[in-house]
Amino acid sequence: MSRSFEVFSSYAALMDGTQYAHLAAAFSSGRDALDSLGLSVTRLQISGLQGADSAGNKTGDSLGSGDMAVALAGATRLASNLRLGLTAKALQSEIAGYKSNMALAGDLGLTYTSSRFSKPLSVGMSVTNFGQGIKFRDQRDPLPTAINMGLSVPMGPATAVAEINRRVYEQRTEAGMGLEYGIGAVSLRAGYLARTDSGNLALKDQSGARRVLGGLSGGVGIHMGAARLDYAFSQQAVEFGTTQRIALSLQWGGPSGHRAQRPDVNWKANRDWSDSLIKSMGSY
Amino acid sequence: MSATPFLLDFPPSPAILHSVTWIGLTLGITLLAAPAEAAVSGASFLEITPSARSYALGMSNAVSSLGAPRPSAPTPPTLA
Repeated sequence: MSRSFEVFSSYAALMDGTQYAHLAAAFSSGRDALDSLGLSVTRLQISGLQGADSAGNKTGDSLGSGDMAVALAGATRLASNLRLGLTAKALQSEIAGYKSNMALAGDLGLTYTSSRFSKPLSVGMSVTNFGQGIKFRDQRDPLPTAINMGLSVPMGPATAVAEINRRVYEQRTEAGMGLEYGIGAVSLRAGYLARTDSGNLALKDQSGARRVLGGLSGGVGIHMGAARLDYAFSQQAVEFGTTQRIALSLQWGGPSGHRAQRPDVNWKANRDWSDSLIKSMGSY
Repeated sequence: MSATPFLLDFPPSPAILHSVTWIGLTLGITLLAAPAEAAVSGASFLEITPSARSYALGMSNAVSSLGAPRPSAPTPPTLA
């Protein structure tokens, strides 16, 4: 296994001018003890919010809010097929110039890849966003802690993924599934996410059919040498328009990287299945 | 690279399994016993996955956590 370095950037234009940006970098040492180390910065910026007084009357003022998280992640290989990862992060929010506390949180995850079949079947579970809540003045809100379990199965030229997520404090469950089909350097993707909650305001007044369609998403990925460009779209409600995302990653070194997508008949003998790193921070 | 895994071989030893089981049970019970909140507004932006690939495959963090292998490429996992 050789050393590799990867950078990842992602941008999303969300509804009402909300902007989401993420930048991450990671280094893989190629050693089992500390296989990968990564650092990421995430920023969400909202502007143009209407101000209101304590009675809910609009004041005519306009205000903005922002959230930022800085995360440090590490991954280790417990066994040839078993990996463990931990992320520590510090986050802070700001609303109209008022800042919250600096909250500390973490993610913990475990993945196992079976080599008993002809294709690599992966299962994993994680606990994400556990830690201190965000506190403004006297009010503290819990983080969106979740327990996640998932499965990925290669199916010929495609890969199928399925998962279930349990939101701890909101006590709701999500189930998602997706399919990725590779044609040379291009990957076509489609997915669906089903939720048990009724608290999604975007879907509150939607018809049954539109609620069902609101869970659909799709996208495309293109690999060009050491670079990978991913694009995704979805629509939660007609009135809010389409949400679009774009992500770019670059990788140097390592045997897998973003290179040509072709079957590796010797994949069981190659322990460097993971092209790392940034996945340990959920960026991949 | 060494042919011997760093910490343990698979399947893990009974002692490791015992420890992992207790840690998992403790963590699970703690989380499942957490009080319900009508809505979680604190740092809800953490729920947004930065990965466009994961988003296209069902809008989930768990997909990226799994490090699902790409089509025709044996590139399994990392973690969460």
